[in-house]
Amino acid sequence: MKRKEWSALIARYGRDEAIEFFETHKNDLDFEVISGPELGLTMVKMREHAQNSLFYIGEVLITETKIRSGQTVGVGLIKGEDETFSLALSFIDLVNKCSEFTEEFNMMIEKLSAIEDENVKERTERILQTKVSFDMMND
Amino acid sequence: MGYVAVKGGAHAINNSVLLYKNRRLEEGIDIEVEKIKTNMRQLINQVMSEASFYDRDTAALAIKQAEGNMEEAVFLMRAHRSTLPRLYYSTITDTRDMFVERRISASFKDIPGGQILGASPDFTHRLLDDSLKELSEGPLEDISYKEVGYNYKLYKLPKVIDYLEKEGLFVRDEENNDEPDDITKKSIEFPSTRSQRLQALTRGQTGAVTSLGYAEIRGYGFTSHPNIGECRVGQQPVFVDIDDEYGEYFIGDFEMTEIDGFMPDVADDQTTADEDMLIKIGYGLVFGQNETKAIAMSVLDYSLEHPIDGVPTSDDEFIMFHIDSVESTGFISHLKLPHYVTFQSKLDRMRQGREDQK
Repeated sequence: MKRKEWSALIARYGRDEAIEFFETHKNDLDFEVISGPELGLTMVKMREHAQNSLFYIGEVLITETKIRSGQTVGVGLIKGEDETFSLALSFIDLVNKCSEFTEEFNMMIEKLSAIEDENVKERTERILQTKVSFDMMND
Repeated sequence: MGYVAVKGGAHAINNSVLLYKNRRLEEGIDIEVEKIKTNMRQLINQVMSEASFYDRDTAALAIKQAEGNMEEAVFLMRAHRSTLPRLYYSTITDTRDMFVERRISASFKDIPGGQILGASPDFTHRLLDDSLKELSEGPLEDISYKEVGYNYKLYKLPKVIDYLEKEGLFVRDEENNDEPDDITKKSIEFPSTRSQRLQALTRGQTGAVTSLGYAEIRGYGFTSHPNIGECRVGQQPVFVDIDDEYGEYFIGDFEMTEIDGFMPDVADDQTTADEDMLIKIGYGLVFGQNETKAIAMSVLDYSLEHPIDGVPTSDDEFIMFHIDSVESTGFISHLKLPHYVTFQSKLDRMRQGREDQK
């Protein structure tokens, strides 16, 4: 699974699981913290749809952590102020790059994918209860 | 004498600040920042949008510190933002990837996917609800469920203009991937660029943007009012590319409101007859659920893109230099601060003039 996908899955649904993963395996891999966890900003670049050009809507707060094992660097990024989660994410990024704890990672992802499916289904059903049915307006 | 005056001023200022800080607690019980965050959602949306800085916790803290004063809360957010390093720029973010929680069109009744009202006060009666005087634990009423047929995903909901494009009523411009200007890094120069205008509008003061947008469609610019082609509100995923060959990294979902405003022809429109057969769009996009501001932004975007001579809302300098909350409220409110020397010299000239007349 690409980082684009697993980082979204864990950020949205797996804070507790990510921290548990980190606590369980942190002593089984030598690493050092290079920087952070620290607060910073990300400027968001948007595509507008009138002329299909780009502009900046503004900045969002993030927490960043960087850790290293040998020459490999793991990065933890998460919106808002959340040092514990950011550190855990940096560890997960690192072990993915080092191909460590693959089975445990895949189990976590499988669990979170199921949670996501259920969550999206429930949210969709709830939101669609506000979908206007013009055919039924005179009922 | 000068030294004594400064010392006296410091004493008064210190106590003034203390009175200000104490007043909140002297008049009532304290409130948790978390309660502001969860109960004052729309206020937080406005503060984040005008501060151009998205973080609900920080906004809630700023609102508490400012005693709910919008301009002060925005000022606090901007000041705090200036202490933080900018670590990343996001990859290009497109609202076609938004998880849509509300999507309506005032132009087409039967938009594919339907009108999804989401959470909105649009259809409430605006009668005060006395029951809110009592605290409640969780939602009082569940929504009623019935089966709703659908065959699309709310996180990949096509835009209304995508359907119009298929019909040939809207022509999508070629993608322009030029790096946008950033008005927080480089001062605006006139004539402004499109990216500067959109950035200034999205961080503009809600009231100012709304008032000027209203003036434009009330008759100072357009001769008829626009229609909202699509208003969508939802959770927008944002990614960064940290340049380590492992691809994009998700940082979070952020609530945004987007408006595609279908605009009327302006009086001295230079468009050709063929172009007149196409839908023209004014664009609005803001942090949080701020629909009125986003609509007004789309109006002003279009009026600045299609300027009419002599119309103030077509003047980019007039709009962009006056809608920023910190700049406008800062300048207006500074008038109450000591101007003793400048005013004294004017007074001296007036007194001298009177003496001379005698």
